[in-house]
Amino acid sequence: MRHIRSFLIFFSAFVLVVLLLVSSTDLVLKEQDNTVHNISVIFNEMNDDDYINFKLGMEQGILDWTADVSFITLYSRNDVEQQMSLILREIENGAEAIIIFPADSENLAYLLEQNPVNIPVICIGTDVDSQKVSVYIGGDHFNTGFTLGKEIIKNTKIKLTKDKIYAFSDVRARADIDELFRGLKQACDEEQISILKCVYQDQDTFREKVDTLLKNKPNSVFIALDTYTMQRFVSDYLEQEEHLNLYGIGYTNKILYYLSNQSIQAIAVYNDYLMGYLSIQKTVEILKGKDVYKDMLMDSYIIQQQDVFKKKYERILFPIE
Amino acid sequence: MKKSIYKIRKIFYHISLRNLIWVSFTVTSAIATIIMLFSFYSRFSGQLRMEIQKEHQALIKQVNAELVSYLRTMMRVSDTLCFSVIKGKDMDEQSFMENFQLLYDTNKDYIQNIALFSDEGELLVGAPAVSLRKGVEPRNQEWFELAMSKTENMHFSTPHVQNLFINSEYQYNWVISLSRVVQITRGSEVKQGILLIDINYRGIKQLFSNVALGQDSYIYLVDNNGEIIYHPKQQLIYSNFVKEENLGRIHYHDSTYEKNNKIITTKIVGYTGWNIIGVTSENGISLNSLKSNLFFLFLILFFIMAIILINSFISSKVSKPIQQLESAVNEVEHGNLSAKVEVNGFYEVRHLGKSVQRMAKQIKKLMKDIIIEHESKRKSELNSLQSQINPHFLYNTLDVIVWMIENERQEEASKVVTALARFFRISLSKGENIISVKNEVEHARNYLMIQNMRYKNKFMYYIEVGEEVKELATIKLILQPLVENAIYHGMEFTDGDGEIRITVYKEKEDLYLSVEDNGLGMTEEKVNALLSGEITHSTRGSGIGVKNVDERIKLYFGQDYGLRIESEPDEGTKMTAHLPAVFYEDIKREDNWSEAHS
Repeated sequence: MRHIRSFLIFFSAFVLVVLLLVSSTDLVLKEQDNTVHNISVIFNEMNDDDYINFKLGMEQGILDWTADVSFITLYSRNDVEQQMSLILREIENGAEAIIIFPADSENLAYLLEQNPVNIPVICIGTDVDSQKVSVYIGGDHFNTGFTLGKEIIKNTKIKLTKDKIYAFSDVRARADIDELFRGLKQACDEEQISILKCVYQDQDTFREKVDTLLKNKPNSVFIALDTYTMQRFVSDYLEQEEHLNLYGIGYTNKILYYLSNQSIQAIAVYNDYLMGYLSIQKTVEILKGKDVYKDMLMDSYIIQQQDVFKKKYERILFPIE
Repeated sequence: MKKSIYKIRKIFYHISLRNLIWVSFTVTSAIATIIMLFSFYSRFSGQLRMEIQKEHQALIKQVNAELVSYLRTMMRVSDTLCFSVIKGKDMDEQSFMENFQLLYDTNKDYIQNIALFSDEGELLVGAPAVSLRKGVEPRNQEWFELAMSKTENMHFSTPHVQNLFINSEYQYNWVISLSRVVQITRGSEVKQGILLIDINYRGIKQLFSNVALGQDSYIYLVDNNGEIIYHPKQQLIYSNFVKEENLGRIHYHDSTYEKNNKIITTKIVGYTGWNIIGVTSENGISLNSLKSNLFFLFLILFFIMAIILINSFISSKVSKPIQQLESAVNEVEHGNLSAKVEVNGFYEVRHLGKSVQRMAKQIKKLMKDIIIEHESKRKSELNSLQSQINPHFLYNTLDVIVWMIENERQEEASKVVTALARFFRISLSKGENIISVKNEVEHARNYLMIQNMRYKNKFMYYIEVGEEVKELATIKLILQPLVENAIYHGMEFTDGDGEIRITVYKEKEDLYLSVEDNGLGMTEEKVNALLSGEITHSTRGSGIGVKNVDERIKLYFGQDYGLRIESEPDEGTKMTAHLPAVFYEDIKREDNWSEAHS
């Protein structure tokens, strides 16, 4: 009886001490985890102008999820080796996680496997087939391509014959572009329309190819498979007030201007703001040890000329700063 | 019900005083503490909540005042344009454009664009100098439709991207459009037109984003249709990633209410019909946080623990003296009158303890008195017995003396008379019960001599007494009954070869007086009968039984001493009196001392 009483007294004292520690200190329970996580965001471009909406979303994420984020651009665009060296540099500098816009899916996968990357890697826009990638946040590119393809076919009144749709990109090996083209091709195949993928090297080869096509097949439909190519179409042709049947994916304010100006027929877009926000949220959740879905696929929207300033789309295309 | 009451009664019947005090005090105090803490908690929580509500209401009021002031400034600009620049002034005059531009320049920190449209949607004047974008139809714009719907009012639109004018830098700005119908004069013609002021959305956002209501609490602005004008997570709401109950809250004007664990405070913005809504999460109130609740639980447990320990201490303090008293009374009850009765604790218990102490003392005294009285009575009886000499013994001895005188055996008669005289002198011994071994042996010797004469030397007797035991003390007349027993049971049937041997010796601290004969001996039953007093020598002997000897030894010296009989039929009997070895002189001195002090 005496032992039981002593045990009960010690047990109660222990419970009281635990309760005091839990309720009055952060040793056991952190009601508000204010740990600031160091996250590095590595783009695949030389500047982040094309990622303004992503960055706005990330900034909101930083506010909501307490993170310290460094934004890093490349010295030469789409250079996967440079991306890898930047990943290693950021790890060395104390980054707890990397958010990356992959330049090259296959090579990045290979490089990630070869290098000592032991922090979470979150891929945006393009998936990379590697065990070291914790989360992929991006679009369902195949479906986006398929929907865009259907839209093009619906909008093009004349009957398309062989080689009338040309999809341009300067990127050789990126999963998102491959998937997008596969979706486009599927849509065209269903209508027995052929589509050709044109990979150009530089501005000269791009112009040469487009000029040839415009000369020989003036009714050709052009598709920019990435934002960079779309901007090239805009700067090389639309700003020169040349008429093109132009579709594409991705957007900048300039692209949207020409879309609303009826120089571009339609574009496929994702909610970049939300993707940016989710990238921070999911990264912080991973760092806090929570389970996160491996793939987060976003809806895409096909925006036509008259849609740009519709309430629904202007909120996606022009997020409030 | 009755069964339960019975069970409770049964529990209370068996429960100890300590546990009863402890349980009742603890339960009562714990309930009181919990009620007290809960009432404090709810009172403080309510107070805190009220303070927070008041604070939030004050903040919202302040934001409202700033917003109203901001919007009034815009409306004043609109009024100035309307009444001082446009109304009655010919549009074609140079000063018209200059005044228009001047007003824009003065307010361009807050205003994105000012433009004047005809009622057909034609851009008449714009500041800064702008031209309409290709494909834009002003008449389809929300602000235009609003102005035309109620021509006498000014109208504020919801936030939207300003998309009317060509912007060489491809910039798109979020604005809130303030539109109204104005009278345009062109030459002699007066027409209706629409004045548009695009207010920078950033200015309104700034008013709200600087307001901090605390953790999980925020403030937002909706128009009278519930459409969000400002929200800290506006883009996430637009993306359907975050949900807000903006539509359900527009019906509450200037009020505070609770819904879904949230305190909602609303404030209508004058003229616009907009609604400022403050949302305070219950979790944001510090008393409602998990840690606060755990701390509250800690306090309850801490107080209960403290109460348990204090009550345990008090109940022990109260019950321990009672328990000690109870065990002491138990001991007294079982005959231990010397049991220690603790006198401590509270006044009543101490008083009770003293009473028990006195009672035990009294009982002890009474019992001692009874024992003394009993012993005294017994001693008197024994003394009375030992002082009686059987008249037959005296008659027979005198008869022997007469016979000797008649047969002229005067010398022998003289010896017997002398022995008889000594026998009686020692028998009397001035009334003392304790005499020296020397006298006791002398007494036995005289008796043996008389009996030997009487029995005409039918037996021989031997007395062996060491010098070291002669001055030791013994009870008077203990050898004589043993010798008498040896003669009557051992020597009567012998033919002159009987022997009686008296031996007195000391072993360690004990004195032994033994009488041994070689007579018929006794069976065990007879020995027991002799010790129990069933057999005496009746009229023939002195009348003092063997039992009497044993009893007297025990009475004087305690149960460790007494008489031991060893006997074998046809072998003889040995009776040994066992006494403590004490000098006669010492006893005598002690008796004198006792008598002197009694």
